[in-house]
Amino acid sequence: MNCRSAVFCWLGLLALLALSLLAGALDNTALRYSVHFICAGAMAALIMLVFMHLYTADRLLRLVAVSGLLWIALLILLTLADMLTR
Amino acid sequence: MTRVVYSEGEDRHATPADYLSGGWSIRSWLLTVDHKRIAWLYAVSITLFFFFGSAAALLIRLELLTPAGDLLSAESYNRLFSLHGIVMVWFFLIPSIPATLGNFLLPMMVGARDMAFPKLNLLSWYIYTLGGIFTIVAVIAGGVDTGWTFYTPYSTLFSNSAVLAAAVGVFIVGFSSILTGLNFVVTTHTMRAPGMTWGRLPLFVWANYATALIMVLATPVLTVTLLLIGLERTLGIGIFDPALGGDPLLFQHLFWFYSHPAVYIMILPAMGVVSEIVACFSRNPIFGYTGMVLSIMAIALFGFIVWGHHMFVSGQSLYAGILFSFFTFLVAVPSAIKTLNWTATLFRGRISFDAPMIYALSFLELFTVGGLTGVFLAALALDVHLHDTYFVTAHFHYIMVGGAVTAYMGGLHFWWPKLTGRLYSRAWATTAALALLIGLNLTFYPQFLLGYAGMPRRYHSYPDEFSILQVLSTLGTGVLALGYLLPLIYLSWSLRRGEKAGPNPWDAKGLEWQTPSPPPVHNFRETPVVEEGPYAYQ
Amino acid sequence: MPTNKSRPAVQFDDMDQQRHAGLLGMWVFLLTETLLFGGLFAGFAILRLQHGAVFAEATGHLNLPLAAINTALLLTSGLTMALAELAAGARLRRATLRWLLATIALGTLFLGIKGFEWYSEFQRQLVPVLNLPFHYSSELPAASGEQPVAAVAELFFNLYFIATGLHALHMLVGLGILAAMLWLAHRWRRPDRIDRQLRIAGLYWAFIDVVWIFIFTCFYLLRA
Repeated sequence: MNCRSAVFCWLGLLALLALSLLAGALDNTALRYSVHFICAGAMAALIMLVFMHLYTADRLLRLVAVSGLLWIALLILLTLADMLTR
Repeated sequence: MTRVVYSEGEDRHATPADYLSGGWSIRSWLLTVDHKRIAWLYAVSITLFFFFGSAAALLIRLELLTPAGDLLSAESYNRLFSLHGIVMVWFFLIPSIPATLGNFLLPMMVGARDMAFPKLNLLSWYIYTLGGIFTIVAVIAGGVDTGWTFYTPYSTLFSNSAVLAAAVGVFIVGFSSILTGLNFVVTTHTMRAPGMTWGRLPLFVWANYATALIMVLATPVLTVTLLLIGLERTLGIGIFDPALGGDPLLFQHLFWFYSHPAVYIMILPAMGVVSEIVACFSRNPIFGYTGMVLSIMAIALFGFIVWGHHMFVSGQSLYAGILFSFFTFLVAVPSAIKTLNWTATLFRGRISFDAPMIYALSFLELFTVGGLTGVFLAALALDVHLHDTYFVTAHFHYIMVGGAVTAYMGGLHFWWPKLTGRLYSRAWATTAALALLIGLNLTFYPQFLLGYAGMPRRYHSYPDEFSILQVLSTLGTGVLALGYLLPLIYLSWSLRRGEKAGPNPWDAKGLEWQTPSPPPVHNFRETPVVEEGPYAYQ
Repeated sequence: MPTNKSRPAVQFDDMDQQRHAGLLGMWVFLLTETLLFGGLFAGFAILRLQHGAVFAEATGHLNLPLAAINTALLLTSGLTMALAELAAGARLRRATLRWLLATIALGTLFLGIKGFEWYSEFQRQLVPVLNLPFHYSSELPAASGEQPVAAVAELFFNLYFIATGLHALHMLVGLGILAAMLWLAHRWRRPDRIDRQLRIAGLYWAFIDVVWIFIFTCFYLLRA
């Protein structure tokens, strides 16, 4: 990471925030919610790749980051498997 | 061959100060950052809690000696088994092998001078102690009557017992677990000696590493769940109150997401210990090292997707139940592979029946019984009848006491010469090991029969026809107690009067046995260079 | 005078190993934090699916413009933190101090605005803490399933306060860490060490940022 990439990352983050806020004007709820979450995911990815140096990090650190997401997904999905099929 | 490299000009015959001789002041113990001393701090603490939890168990078994609930009221009985569960699970079993044997041996087995974060290691013990204090406060305040499982909405809205104090105690001790896990993971990844590749690590290291991963991934979910209980009881803001649209089952999902992997935290290190002992005392390399490693990692992984098997009759969806049941059958497979591999290791071995080996062989019987009965419980149709009966109680005690505690005792006896530089009486150790084996079977086997016959768990009275089985079970507890008290006596005795041990009294393989007994402060004078795999027995 | 060469701590063989261990240690810690908040988000996900209509309407009662500003502030603090790291990496004392101060200022401003938000919610009687009066006006029919709408809305606000409260606590800890780093940077005793520690602190700060993005999305954006 250098100054340039940090600043570009920040601009990208603000742009994604703006996009997510603008999407609030959409009528279709499913589309609106999808945009919100995609923007959130993209912002998170930008922060992790640039500000948290994952772009230049070794495989182990990336694995740790991915595991976190995987484990939350596990918790939510399997719990939903119960909630949604009652 | 493993070479311990000495720097040029150094007198290789001069013995460096061992870690015990460097002072016995309070300061040198309470402010130590030496992983070996921290292991002892933990050992003392968990032993105290073990006897505390055992006292509760003794009272339970005394009450159950007679069919009528005559020793204690139902209320008091609720608090007693809750105390027993909380203390035994969080203050004994979870830390036991990792925080004592793991802390002592992991750095040595990978060839390091200490853990990656020695100060965090000490902090984890202080946090453990703080959590312990809160739990004692909870006991003094009358205890908790929710069971160790804290089910909502009873625990959040209706219980008049010391739920908050107990929840805070467990909340705090969780951080101790997390720090230990973090230290193990980082140490194993970054501090292995040159030549110590992943494929050359002893299975004890693999087991503790997998355990550490579980600690790190599962414990925080318990932390936030207990936080939610605490917030609901103090500030009145919660998400489990049905009147607000909250879901009590949500609590159970969050709770068991941690508490099922937690049982693998308890058993995996035990399996690691068994591997070390079985290899040494049959003079054979462990059969199927790769399979053992894969099984360890598979147990850790699959352990995260089976939690719903605690909730088959809770109102959980049938389809989720089927899914969890299937995965539970699956998680039994790697455990079975390990048990078969240990047995195969014995084949054509030169077996000696020293105390550690008796413990390890006991583990094989006890874990097999406990594990198989787990498979019965995994079947939905059977679980409908067996859930909340003594069958379940027997199942998990066979594994936790018959498995984890037995292995802990075995490990203690195996590495005692290394930890202390002393040998203990072979005769007494054999007696204690056999007492444990007999006591465990006598205590818990009748409970399978009781559960199958329909006796519910957590009840302090029962119909007369169950009497004989209950009496047998309580008698077993007496024998079991012998198995715990004897080592306390002869091991302590050995500290002063035991014959001095050399570096390797069992002629075992492994880096830890290459050092003097007790080891010097930083384990190795120079970082060892590893040139061969583990278990190079012939 | 700042020392030039760092010697590794006694348990490490060289600085490379120590650096590696330090970064891995922080990442593993962040993994635990992910699961901590993850449990909360799991709770939110389940309850949101069970009570979609009420939760969506309740979302409208929160102050989105203020939260959006807060989000922008936090994202900017991520930039200033990154710049502080770069400055420390280049061994520039003044720049490091400047960017650290900016990060602390932005973080403090975030907490201030959050506190103001909570206060305004308290004034509008939307804080169901400690049996404070909770008055929720709704345009939905009175009962959603088995519970009255106001009760389910209370559930939403419970989650909201727990999530933002837990996040604010982490922010406070983060500010404490940054204040300590500010002091060390002011002394500038061991620049090598400051560089390493700032990098590790930066990971924590950025992570808190990521958590906020999801809290913001879940609680403020999913409107009816």
